Amino acid sequence: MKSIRRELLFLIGVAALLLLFICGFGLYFTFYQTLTNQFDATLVSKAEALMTATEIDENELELDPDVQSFIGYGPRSLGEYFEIFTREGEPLHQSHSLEDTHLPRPQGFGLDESGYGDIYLPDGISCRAYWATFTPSDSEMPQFTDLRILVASDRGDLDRTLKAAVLAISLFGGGAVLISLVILYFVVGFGLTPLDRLSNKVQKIDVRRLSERLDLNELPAELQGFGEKLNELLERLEVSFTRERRFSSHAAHELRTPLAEIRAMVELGIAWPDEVTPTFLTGIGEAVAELEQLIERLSLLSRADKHGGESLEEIDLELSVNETLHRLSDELHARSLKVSSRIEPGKFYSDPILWRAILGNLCENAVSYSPEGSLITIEVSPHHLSVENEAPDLSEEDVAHMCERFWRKRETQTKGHHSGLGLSIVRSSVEHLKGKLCICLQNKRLQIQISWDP
Amino acid sequence: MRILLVEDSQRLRNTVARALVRLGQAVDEAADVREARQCRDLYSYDVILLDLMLPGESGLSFLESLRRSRDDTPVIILTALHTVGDRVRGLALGADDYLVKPFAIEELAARIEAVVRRRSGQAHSVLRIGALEIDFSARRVLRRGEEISLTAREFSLLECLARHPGRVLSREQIEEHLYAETQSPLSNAVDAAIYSLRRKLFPGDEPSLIHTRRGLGYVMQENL
Repeated sequence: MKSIRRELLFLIGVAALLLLFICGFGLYFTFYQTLTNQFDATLVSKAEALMTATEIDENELELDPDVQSFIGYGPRSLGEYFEIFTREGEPLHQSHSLEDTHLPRPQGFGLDESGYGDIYLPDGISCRAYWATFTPSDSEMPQFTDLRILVASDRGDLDRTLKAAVLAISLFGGGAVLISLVILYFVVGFGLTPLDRLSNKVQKIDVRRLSERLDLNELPAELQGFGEKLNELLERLEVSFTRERRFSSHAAHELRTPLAEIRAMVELGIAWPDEVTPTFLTGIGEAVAELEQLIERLSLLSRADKHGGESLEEIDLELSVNETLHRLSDELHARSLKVSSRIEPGKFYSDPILWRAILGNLCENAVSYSPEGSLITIEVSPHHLSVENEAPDLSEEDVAHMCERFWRKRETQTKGHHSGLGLSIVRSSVEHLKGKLCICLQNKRLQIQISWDP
Repeated sequence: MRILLVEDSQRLRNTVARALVRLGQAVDEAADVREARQCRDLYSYDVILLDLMLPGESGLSFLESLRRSRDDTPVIILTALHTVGDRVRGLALGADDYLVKPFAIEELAARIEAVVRRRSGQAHSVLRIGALEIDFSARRVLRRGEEISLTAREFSLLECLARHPGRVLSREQIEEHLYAETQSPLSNAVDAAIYSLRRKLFPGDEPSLIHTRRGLGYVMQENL
């Protein structure tokens, strides 16, 4: 599993090591250059002293031994060497320290007037060398002009100093990185404490405790936005879960009650056959029909809730309204209700099942809940549907709850076949068909309007 | 036994009530909490069968108010709400049992008998008194191992007396346990039922365990 602390430490560790490498290299390079330059400057001074002290006397090159000793050229153990060559490279003079050996020529010797190079003596001693071209004073003979002097010093001390510098940089730098990582481990842990605390709190929130919220005052500024969004999400989840629980409870109640009725009636009939009368059997039939209607409505609701996949067909508005009113004609006559319908012809495309559900539910509700002898007004056009009826018992508060699933006004709760799903189906169907639903109550008249964009 | 059945579904209410009446119980019906309160104010019940999702005030609210007013009538919840949380909430508010719809009438009758038995402090459904062995669960009575055939009403009368041994029950009290509010028994209905029950349970020289307390009522007792 990914860990922010581990990832942070890893990245900081890699960055620190890279920084250590770059800084160490820079430090070492600077140190190396400074020491080598100092070393080279000493070589140059020695060469210049030797060149100044070189004389031509009676056709022979002379170099005062006291001067040599003063400059530092003595026994081999001192590690200081020089050798003078003719222009052609023939050895003319050399320090005693070389005994009977010669200095190896560094790269570029003989090509350039002067230069530096690293050489190894035949016995393996590593030396830093400098060469220059000069003509001794008082030299008038051509063989003693443009002589070459090659001075070399044992660079053992320089190399040891540089190695010590590398060791010191590596040890102190590496140690500093390790100590930094340990400190960082705790610092990052401390910095992530609010996140840990938040994580623990969020972990404790489960489906049964969705009413819990994060205390935003406890969160640092960086987590405020996250906390606010999480609280909003919890709020939405709680509302959604409550709605779903209520829906499940109502669905269970609505489904189990007719089942209980059927079972009780069947058991009563089996135990006491004399109870089975035509009225009794009609009761069973009604319970089965209600159950069937409820299941049909739930599956319609499920269809309306699903998104995509609807099949749009051309709807004959006049035919669909007439069919709906014909289906409700018995109840309309029984309750002496009048219907005024205005249908604006035109091409209208919709999902035929959802359209029938919308129109049917609105008309059924209007017929069931209108006072006897009142007027129901239906207006339909390709972009608009409106059903209006008298609703003396409804209040504004009822209007706010009308689309909730299984909501029924108290007085009508036990009223026969109404499941309380009609307007939920209408709302879901309208949303699915990308329309707008508007319910308003004015002067005790309920108007439900649905509109579609042209 | 007199039962109050509170259920908003008329068909279910009528059917359950009919079945319980056929089993010899007196059943009063209420469609909502308001009606249930009216019944409760007028009569005392051996058990209340209560639906939770009622129009208006919920069944739980009625149960809570019953227990708050120190009414310990046994209550069996009959509901479609079936989750553990729903059951726990009902039982925590003072319900004695919980039955999820759809249920078997036989199971309902057994649970009614069980809660009433628990309330009267009896561990078993079989009560022995004198030569009689009364099985409240199977609703049958034996005398020295021989089954005696009783009507549902007669068994209910026996049950009413046997559940309160040694306690004198007035005619009104017995009537209240035998007849629902919709039934209007004749003034001598209880006396006639007692007479009939005595004849069936204690024929010939068999000493009767049901005694008359003149001016007070009837009592069932082994030894006077």
